[in-house]
Amino acid sequence: MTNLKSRISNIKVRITKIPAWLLIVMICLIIAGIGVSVVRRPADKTWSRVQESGVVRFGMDAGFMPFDGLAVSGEFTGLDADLARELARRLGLRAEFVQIGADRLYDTLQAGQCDAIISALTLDAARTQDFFYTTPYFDAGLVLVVPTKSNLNELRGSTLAVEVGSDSDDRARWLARRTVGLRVLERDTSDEALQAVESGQADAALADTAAARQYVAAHPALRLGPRQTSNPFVIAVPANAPELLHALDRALAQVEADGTLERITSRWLDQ
Amino acid sequence: MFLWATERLPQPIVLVPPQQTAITQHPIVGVHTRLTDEVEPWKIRKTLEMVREMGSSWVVEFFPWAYYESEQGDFRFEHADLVVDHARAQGLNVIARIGYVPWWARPHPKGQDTSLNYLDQENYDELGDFVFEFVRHFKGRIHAIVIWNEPNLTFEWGFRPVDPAGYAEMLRVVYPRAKQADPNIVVLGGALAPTLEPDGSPNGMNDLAYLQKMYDAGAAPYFDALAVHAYGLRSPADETPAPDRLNFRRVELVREVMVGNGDAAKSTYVTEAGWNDSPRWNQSVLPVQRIDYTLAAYQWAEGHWPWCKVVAMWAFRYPTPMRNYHDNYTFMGTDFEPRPIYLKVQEWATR
Repeated sequence: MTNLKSRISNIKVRITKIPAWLLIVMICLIIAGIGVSVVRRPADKTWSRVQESGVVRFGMDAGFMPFDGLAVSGEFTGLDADLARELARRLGLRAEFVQIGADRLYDTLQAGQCDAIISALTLDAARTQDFFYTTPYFDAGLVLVVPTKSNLNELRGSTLAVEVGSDSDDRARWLARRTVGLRVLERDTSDEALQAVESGQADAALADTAAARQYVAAHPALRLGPRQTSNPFVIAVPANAPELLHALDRALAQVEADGTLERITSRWLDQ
Repeated sequence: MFLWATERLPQPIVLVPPQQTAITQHPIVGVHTRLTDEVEPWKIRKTLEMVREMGSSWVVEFFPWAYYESEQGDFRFEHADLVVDHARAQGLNVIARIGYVPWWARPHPKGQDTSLNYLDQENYDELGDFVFEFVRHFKGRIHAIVIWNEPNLTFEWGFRPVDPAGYAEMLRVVYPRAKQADPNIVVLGGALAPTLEPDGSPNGMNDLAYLQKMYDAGAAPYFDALAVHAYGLRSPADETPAPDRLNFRRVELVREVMVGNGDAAKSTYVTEAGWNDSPRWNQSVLPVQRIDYTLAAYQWAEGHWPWCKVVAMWAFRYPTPMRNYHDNYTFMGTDFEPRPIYLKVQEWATR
């Protein structure tokens, strides 16, 4: 410790020995360097194109309602479509949609056939070299569903209903290995697992947040319990479009702050 | 000063465990593993342990030519040895799929850009040389090799029009080299993609038509048995096959082509099969259906296909998540957490 203190004081002594004029020159050079690096940063061509055209093109696989779908009229619909339109509006733009198969979303974005992906997309850390992700706008993780009057605080000794073979089944088995007396009740579908709670066969069900919210909205005898896992949905843009990313994040912050995001979410999941 | 950065770090020591026996009530059960890109030896060992513990006695694995002979004549089988030795230690039969062409066996990229699945006929001898070395190296350690993958798809044929006669010629060149290295090796032809592509399609050729054209081109003497892919898509395992349907029992139509061409005595190996339970793919089924259909498929093959040696389901585990519907083919997560389908197959196969 003494050694460290003496080293720090040595550094202080050295700094105080530097002439003032030299310090000023050094500071100027640092500022100039930052300036040069800012100037040299490649322009965000995606954002420039979006601003010039007034259109932001969202890639979407329209086969995953209530997030991504196509209306009979051919119009893109669902939570993601509504959110994309609102974000574009806040940025003074118009949203257009490009239908893309789920496994080609990133390729299409990289090829420049759309400007961003909004498609119930899960953040993929392995792709962060090539793509940027916005702040999450929805968490689709697994959540407990319990009877409205239940005061279930812990799962010990309880019966948990799940859709057999699903992610909730995976998680329930994981929980069962760590929770004394937890019994997993398998049902063929998510709805049947939730019905098991209503009928008293299970103390709780485990389901993804979207399915759980939709079911609970139609079944007042049930309510959402604690979240068990996290699966955030995000919007992706190419890594060379930081200004577009910033603009989308700014708009997302606005819609979250003024309650618009929750209204859009509720329109699709709670009615 | 930077010596630490350039020195090779000590490699982890992962011992090949004592010899195990794969115990199963249903020897037809197999899985296709994905260990080609698995770097860490302990993960290879763990994967194959869990294959055995599920009640599977077969693994199908991809062994890319381009990885093991990246310079012509310089064969490096260290990673392949790792996979095969651990599989053998677990008592598993190994079926090795061979494909992926090294750069030096393809046209020069300045003249012609080609994919890893591109091989001109004039280079078939080089594939033959590799197969000879591969089979010689693994003599007595692997059961069978599959030559190429789904050659009836344009993508798998180097983005060229598919060519059954060309594939038959490949088998004619490679087969004797494999037998020269190990007369007991089983050489599998085919592994055609089940597809209904119409005549002249730029994507590929109907598998039944392709197989017939292989026979017409004289392929029969150059494979000991046929590898078949049998995806169920949205149909149950026992759905009746029809030429215009893609389902699990399409294998029976493939079999009819074999029998019609005098190959009834040959076996069939299902080297890829399965159902997908992604909520994000329009060709998937519910998780409960995936479990039911998978078990029913093993049972159907066991009960009705005496000529079928193995049904290997795609895919046991991926080294990293694909983050798309492909993840929903797997039997376990990348973290080795078994998916419910693993436990259901295990319960059935080992009880």
